[in-house]
Amino acid sequence: MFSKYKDIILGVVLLIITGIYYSGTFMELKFAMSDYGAAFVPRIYTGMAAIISILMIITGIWKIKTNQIDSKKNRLNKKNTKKVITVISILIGYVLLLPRLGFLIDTVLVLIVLINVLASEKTLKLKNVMLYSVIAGITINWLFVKVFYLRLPVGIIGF
Amino acid sequence: MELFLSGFTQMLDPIIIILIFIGVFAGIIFGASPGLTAAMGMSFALPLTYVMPPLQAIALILGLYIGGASGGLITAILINIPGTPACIATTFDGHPMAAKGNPAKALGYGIISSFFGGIISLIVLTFASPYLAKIALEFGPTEYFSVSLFALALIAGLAGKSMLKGLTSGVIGLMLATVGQAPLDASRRFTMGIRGFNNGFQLLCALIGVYAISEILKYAENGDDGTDKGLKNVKISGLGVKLKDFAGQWINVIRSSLIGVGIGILPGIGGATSNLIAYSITKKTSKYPEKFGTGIKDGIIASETANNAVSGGALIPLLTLGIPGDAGTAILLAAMTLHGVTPGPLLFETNGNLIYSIFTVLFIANIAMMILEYFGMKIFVKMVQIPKCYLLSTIFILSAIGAMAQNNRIFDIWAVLIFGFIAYILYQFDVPPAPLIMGFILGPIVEINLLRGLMLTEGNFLRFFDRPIPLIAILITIFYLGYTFYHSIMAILPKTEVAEVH
Repeated sequence: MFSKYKDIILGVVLLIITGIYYSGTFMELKFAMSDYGAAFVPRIYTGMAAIISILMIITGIWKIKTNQIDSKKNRLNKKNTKKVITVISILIGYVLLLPRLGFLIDTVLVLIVLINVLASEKTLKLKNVMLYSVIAGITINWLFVKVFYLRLPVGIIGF
Repeated sequence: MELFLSGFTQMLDPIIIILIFIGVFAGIIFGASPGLTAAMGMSFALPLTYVMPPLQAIALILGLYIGGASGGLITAILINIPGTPACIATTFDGHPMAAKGNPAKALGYGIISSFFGGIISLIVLTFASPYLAKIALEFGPTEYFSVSLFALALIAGLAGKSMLKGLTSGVIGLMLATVGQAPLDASRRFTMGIRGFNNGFQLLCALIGVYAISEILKYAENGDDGTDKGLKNVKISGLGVKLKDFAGQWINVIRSSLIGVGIGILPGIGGATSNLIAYSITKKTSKYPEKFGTGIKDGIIASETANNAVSGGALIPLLTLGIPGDAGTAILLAAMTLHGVTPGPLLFETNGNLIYSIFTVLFIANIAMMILEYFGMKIFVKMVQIPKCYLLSTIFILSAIGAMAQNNRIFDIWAVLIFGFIAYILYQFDVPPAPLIMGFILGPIVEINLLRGLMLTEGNFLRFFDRPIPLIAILITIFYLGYTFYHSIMAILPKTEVAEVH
């Protein structure tokens, strides 16, 4: 079903985004130095995007009519969709917790969880994963803080 | 000749040679790590050079510059994640070749092509830099606009099976590049009141997001789907390729190198686009364009010669005019200035032997790059045999830290995730990611030069055609787009007729 209407969905989504983008060109702060303000080029892009999205919809309809549908099965299924959503949640969680937990703790925790989620079908020894995550976290933290003098979020541990 | 010999003798100092090797080694590591760039490595090394004499400092920084330009090919070929923006096109054929069981061959083509690109650009730099610098000075906004527009039109050639999907990706890249401050009047655009959006998105964040994060999500979706089976249990002997394998590729090598040098000379456009432009032109002029993307050597050679040739090209405006062409040369300028060397036209007259020493450093750095990558090949391939769940999780952490390192703000990690999610959604619709990056890089260059050009010509776009370079570039762009559209329509039409018959 998704494969059949893929191009049409893409065209419609792009058209909606283009509409939102176009409305955004009326909201910018204006310090016009010339006739060609901050909205000039974005409006050209709006025109381009609108033409492309309309062509995409027409091509999609034409493909259905002429039976040129990609016969490949939809890649996403219930099982892997759940896994993708879990990974996305982990990545978002990492950034959210970074200022609170600090780089070191957050990194070690995320490495443990992410490695296990990505390898859920294989049997990984939790002990090995934890050992790797702690060593990797400490090494990366040491390298960037002590060698490259980067300021990383210290969080609750204070270093 | 005297100056050349004097410059060359200074290079016999073993400390300088060791520093070049150290610089190249560190550069390769920075270039190969997604999230870290050669420019970052150079800026980290800059304080270390305070205590060194000028030539030693320049040797270390130049080593990092050359190593960084080439290091990106390792991850691009082995794990399909370009270490730097300059290696995006290397993934197109490099990774498929490696995945088919030829990682050594793919790396070998990449390494030797990098060397050729570096050496050809060095020859151009040595013999033609003052003349080319004069041409570069002639470039005004209208020239920049037309050349960038041509580069943007090449997106159509990167589109893969569907040109329309390539253009969709490109236009999304252009739109994302407009977030933040407008180029001329600094108005805030599309910020939606979010403070982090005020400065727009960094190129590094876009690259890491589009390639590293989407790769993690694709792995979560598909797991170990066997596409990288060719990378397991590989035995490596030698460089994987011989010089005779380059037979029939010399035009590709020279053309792509000259594209790299040409783009390197123009300040601001940078190496990130050279590989994509060279790849696109090589594909368009090939007798077998349909094989591109399946793992053929032509694609790797085009991308790797072009991106390494940029290094020599970018040094031309730096040494002759004192204008840095990219972030790497900007740091090199800082290093030179710190040591009392002022690049510019007078440098050739007042410090000629230093100029020739720099040329010799570049030559040795290119050799060092080849030697170190040759001996590192076995380690690189071993690295890929680490289970992907470990590898990708560690790459995520390095990507996050690399993004944050630029401006020390957590928002940049959010930006990485935003680009990653967008690229993953586009992947579901079979939309290629490379045009998005191309649009993102070229969008601001096209915009600022179009606006400047319009201000100069008092709003009359037709006056852009008064000068020869814009006229030629815009005509080529129109011809190229027309040719590509015609071919994509012709490719679809027979299918329609067949469908109608059935």
